[in-house]
Amino acid sequence: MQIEKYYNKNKIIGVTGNSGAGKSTFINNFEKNRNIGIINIDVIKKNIVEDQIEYYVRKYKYRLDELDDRKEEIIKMLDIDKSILNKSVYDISESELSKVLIASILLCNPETIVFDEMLDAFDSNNKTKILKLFIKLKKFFKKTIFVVTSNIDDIYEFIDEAIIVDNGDVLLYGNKFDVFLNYDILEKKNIRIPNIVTFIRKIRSNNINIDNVDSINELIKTLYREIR
Amino acid sequence: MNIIETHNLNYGNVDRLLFKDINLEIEKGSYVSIIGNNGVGKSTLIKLLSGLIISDNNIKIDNVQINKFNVEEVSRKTSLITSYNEFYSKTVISEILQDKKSVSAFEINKVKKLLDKFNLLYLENLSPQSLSYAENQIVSLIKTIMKEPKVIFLDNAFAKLDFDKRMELFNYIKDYAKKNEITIISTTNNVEDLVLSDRILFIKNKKISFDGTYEELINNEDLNIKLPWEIEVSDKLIMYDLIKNRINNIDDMIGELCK
Repeated sequence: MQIEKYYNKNKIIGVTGNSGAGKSTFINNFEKNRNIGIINIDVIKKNIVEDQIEYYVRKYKYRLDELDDRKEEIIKMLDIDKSILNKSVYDISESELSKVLIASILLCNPETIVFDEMLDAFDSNNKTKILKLFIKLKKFFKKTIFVVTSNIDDIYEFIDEAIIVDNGDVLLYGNKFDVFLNYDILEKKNIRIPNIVTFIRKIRSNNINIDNVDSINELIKTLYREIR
Repeated sequence: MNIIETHNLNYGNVDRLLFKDINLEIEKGSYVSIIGNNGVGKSTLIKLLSGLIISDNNIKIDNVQINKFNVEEVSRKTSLITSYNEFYSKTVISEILQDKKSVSAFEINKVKKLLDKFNLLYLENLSPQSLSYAENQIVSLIKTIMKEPKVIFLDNAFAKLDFDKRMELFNYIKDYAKKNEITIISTTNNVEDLVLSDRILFIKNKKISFDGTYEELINNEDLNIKLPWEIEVSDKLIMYDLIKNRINNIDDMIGELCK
């Protein structure tokens, strides 16, 4: 598996496949490079929220002199409620904990970020906020971001590329529109296809030629143009 | 008959009040889902209703008010599946049978049959600490079934599983519950999960701001919730005059558009 071809892409890459297909195992192939920050539930190392946030940056001694300012910035960016800083990580809600773990990794400013199955703790507003944050990190900070999830509908709009993992191997990889065109392979493996992709395929087979779109708003616009 | 009741439930932590004067009656055998934004207190409510958190409130399970003296006994009637279930036994099978007072060959067979049904028979003698997320969730489900509780609490259960797997498990629990008059109380962030519920409670501003069916929920204009994909698309198509009525599946929507 040529793992290097996935590095430094400056893109948001969705890693999906069925539960147990080996998505996180695939991600574990990345671990050796220190410039990769993997965010998952195993990243908890400290009991108190503030200690957890500072844990990795202190461990790798990364720009400690600027720590307070950068911490402030990241707490604000993630909308972390300051009142939880002194609490135990086990006494806060799952979504707050997820934000705390994101903060602890972001503080180290890795070039590549892997967000491993943590979206499901968030309500849809927070999911969108986090995904929009990833877009910012990609555009303004030139990062490469992998989002691992079994629920492709949550992320389809926000990703550039997709990796489909099946049985521990990469089944498909490429631009997201191309990857999900392979509906016969995906359906055979029972791998979920985003609603919007299914909709586009079916409406095209009814001779309405709409563009490749990835969001509901774009879908409505393009349908309006074609049908009216 | 009400399996769970609360009377003027008030609860909060040091910084803020989470619930103010909540009065709940949950009918035996019903499937109730609880939704609301992150941090609103869904998990905390589950902990209060299941006796994991004991407070001064009058919370009754099966007509018995929970207090620190009877909580252990009351807890035998309930079971909880959360996103990260902690296991302490040596093997999966002993973990599953942990809450049983006595274990017979019949019960061991039942466990094996359930493990087999979910294709997890290979886990039988393995350590339950090293399970994958999906394995952890299903083992917790089997443990729940073996406990034969009156109330099953699901706190963001199966959230990370893919949609089909999640629905398979929810449907399994629902069938099992209906056959045995068991009550289900479930929290979730996914609106698609709600279609299985008899009743949905939406928590906002320390109160239950909506209490109704799935149909009523998706037709409520005041709640600002994310609707299922097909409904959201439908509503926008109606706004642009491309279809007349809400449609909840893709094939029918395309049929309407192609007319």
